[in-house]
Amino acid sequence: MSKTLAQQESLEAQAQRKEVKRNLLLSTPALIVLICAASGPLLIMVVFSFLTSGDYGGVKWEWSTEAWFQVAFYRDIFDDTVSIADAHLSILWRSVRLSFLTTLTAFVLGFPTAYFIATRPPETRNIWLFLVTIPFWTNLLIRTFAILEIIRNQGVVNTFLLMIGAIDQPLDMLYTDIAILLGMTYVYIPLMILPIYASMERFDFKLVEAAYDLYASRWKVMKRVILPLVKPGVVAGSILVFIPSLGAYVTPRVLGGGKNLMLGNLIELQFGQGRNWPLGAALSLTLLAIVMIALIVYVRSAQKQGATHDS
Amino acid sequence: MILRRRSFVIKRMPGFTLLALACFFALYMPLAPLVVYSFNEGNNIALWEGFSLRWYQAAWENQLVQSAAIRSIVVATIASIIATVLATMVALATTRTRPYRGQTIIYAMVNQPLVVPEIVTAVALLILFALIKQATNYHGYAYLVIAHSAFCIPFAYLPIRARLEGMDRVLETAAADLYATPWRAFKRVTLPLMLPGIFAGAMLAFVISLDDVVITEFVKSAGQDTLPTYMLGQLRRSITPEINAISTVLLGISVLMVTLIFFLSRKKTA
Amino acid sequence: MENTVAIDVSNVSKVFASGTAQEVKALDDVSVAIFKNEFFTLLGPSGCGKTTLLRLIAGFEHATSGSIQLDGAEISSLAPYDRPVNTVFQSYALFPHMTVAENIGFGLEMQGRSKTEVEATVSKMLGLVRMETLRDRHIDQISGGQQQRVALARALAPRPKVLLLDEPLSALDLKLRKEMQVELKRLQHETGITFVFVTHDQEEALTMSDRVAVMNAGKILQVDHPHEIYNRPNDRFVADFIGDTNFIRARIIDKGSTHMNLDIGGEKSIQLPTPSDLAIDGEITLAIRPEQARICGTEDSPIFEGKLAETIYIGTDTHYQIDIGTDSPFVIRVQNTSGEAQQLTQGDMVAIAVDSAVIQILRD
Repeated sequence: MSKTLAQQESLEAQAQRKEVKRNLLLSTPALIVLICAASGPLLIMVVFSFLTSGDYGGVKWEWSTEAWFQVAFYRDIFDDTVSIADAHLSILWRSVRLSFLTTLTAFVLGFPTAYFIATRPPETRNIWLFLVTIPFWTNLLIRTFAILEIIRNQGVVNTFLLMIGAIDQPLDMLYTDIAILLGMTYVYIPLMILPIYASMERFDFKLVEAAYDLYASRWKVMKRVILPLVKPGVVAGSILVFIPSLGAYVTPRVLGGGKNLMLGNLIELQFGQGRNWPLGAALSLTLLAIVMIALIVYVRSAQKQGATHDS
Repeated sequence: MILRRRSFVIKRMPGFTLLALACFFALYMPLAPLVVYSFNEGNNIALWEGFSLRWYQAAWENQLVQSAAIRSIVVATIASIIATVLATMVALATTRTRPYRGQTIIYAMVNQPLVVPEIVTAVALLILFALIKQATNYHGYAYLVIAHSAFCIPFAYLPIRARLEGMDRVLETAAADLYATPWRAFKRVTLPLMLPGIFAGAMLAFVISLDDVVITEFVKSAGQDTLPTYMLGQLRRSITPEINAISTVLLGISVLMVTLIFFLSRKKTA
Repeated sequence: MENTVAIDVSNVSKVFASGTAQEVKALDDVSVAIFKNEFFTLLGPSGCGKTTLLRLIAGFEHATSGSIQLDGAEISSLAPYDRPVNTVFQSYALFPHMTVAENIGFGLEMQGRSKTEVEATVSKMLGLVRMETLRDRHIDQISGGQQQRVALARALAPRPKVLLLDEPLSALDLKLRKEMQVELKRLQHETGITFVFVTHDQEEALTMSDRVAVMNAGKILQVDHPHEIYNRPNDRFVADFIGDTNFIRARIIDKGSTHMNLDIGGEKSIQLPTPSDLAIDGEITLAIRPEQARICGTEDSPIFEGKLAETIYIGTDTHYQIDIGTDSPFVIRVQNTSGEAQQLTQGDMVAIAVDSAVIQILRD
């Protein structure tokens, strides 16, 4: 008896061990590719941010914290006086401000849209959803180019406004912060609509009936019943818009015209004309840090949401 | 006097429908001039001079466009195949299993390309590949292929994982009960049932690779332009409707792919 | 029926999440012998361990300790695909990408039988479950009841030594369920295969089974024929779980060789014949089925008296709740044979007679 007992306990453990081994084996090839081209390079970049910039691009293998210093401070080449790096900070500030405004605009337009889709009859709902999905999967560059075309001086918007006589000079919209804001909202709004829709789809509209039955006004129903229950979707959508906006590169490059830089363009400069790779690495890691903070805030709030729903 | 009463609609919110329709209009309106001017006779993207296919022909005959297009398709095909195979394996290892040590790390690594801003990954790859290029003097396509494979993995992984999670584990148990060894149960039951997810994942990976600008821009060696990076370069110069023609074709491919994925994922789950 | 043992479960325990805070003892030192060709039912509330026991026999889980033998050979270390045992799953687990015939033939195909043999057996099975016309349908094109039959045919096709059925009827509506109960009984007779059936439905268990094992909290409490389980429950849980029962806590005041006096908390003590095998002293529990007690006149040697608290009319029967001084009222079920209700009003004093032979004395 005692023999079979020991034997069978090992059978159970054996099956478990075999499963874990199989899982790790199956994951290995993907992990190798990801280490080579995703997580590995990030680690190398951390090392690079602590090296000295080479004279003609690249790096000298000398340990230095100069790059991190340069993220926020400017050292004069002649007299070594130190001042705040206004150029960097204003770009950082523009990135955060524009990303925030993009998120807000996307929410103001995206929330009613998600609500509209969720309240369609089930037969047509998928078609509306499909209409949101198509631009989402269309090349980002093409969509940015489309915005460029319509806001140019000879673009559709200006032509139309001139035609109806609303203006007599074309509006200079291209290469402004507004253009970047417009472009990023256009490009990222599906990322706001889709998660809000996902949480609204699970929303039980009987609750709205109950609220009306208990004398709530439309506004109160929205504020006290619908919004709190679809909040996870709103938070997820906001994160999904905010993060790529913060790291946007193509949209500000095409619509900001090299003057109105965002963090992504500033980083690129360090690998092109700036020839300061360590600074570029440090700036990239700064961007990554901001994104991670936003993500942690999101995860925390999602967990809190989960906890209150459980109790 | 006639009393006009509007019935109370529970789900109605004032102004929402209007805003939503405006949003749909805004999503599609900017694409219209893009498509329309690709058929313009003149070499201007603002002035309509009549219908013509000359810019499509020009794009077709442009050696740079041709080679960029072929490069795009080749890279996207290879990368999406690699990504789909690897993602399928990882999906099998991370769904419907007892929790094990390392599972969260695997999960985090697979999803990293979705979380880290593209520009950060691009710059990091530029640094690493510059080191390797210097050491080996190899400047081939492997860099592009491995970079694309990596960021396509999570996109291929998501639909496959969703499909697997929606699949009842009891089906494999039933197969084992009916004398199927684990390998035969996988071949006859698991694999056929997860195929729609694998197809959807492969197509997503293909579209994502085909559309990529940022990472390609930083990773490519000289003369390795893909269609999107070629277009990005052109946007800096004077723009001709040739760009519109290329964009329209790419737009058409995206719409086609998404429609396919849409109908594939709507097919009834097991 | 000759009682050759088909499955011999001895001292089997199964602990889930062992060593963690969520540790669950699903099976606690369970032993049971299941005979060849019998319809054996594991009956119990959800979470009692009945499905775990079934899954151990099928090989989907490994026992923490103990042994399971099939026809005298140890099978606990065999993989599911090496055991001549098939399962009908609660959710049927039919392969959605295969036709009815492909599903039924799957097991045979995996066993490496020839194409002609598979064909022939599938046809025979389709006939057995009366599904000949649907052989090329896909699973999502047939009804729930039909899926149930396909699941049965699929599990029977390889002619297993034992067929395990995990609450297979629970997803069907009442009428279909009744039909399938008869069908299952017929299939068991026709095939002569040992059926091990898991259910939480006591009526299902009593109507279909040759023997029933009542389980609770990882233990088997009683294994017996249905009428024995119903009439001679050996445990308070068994009496309570199967049918309705009045439980009366009683204290033995004095015990003679023929009669004993019991105090049940009311004004008067009651007298019962002393059972020959009564091993307990002091506190005991009496179990009396509501339909085995009757309201009587005082001349009919009543056991208790009480005040009528409530009359509940439920069509075929009337339930009388009578306050006899215990915590909960004593219930008597009377069949409405005459079509007229008995003329009793609330508050009437009534006398209750029970044949002392049907009173169960239970350990606590």
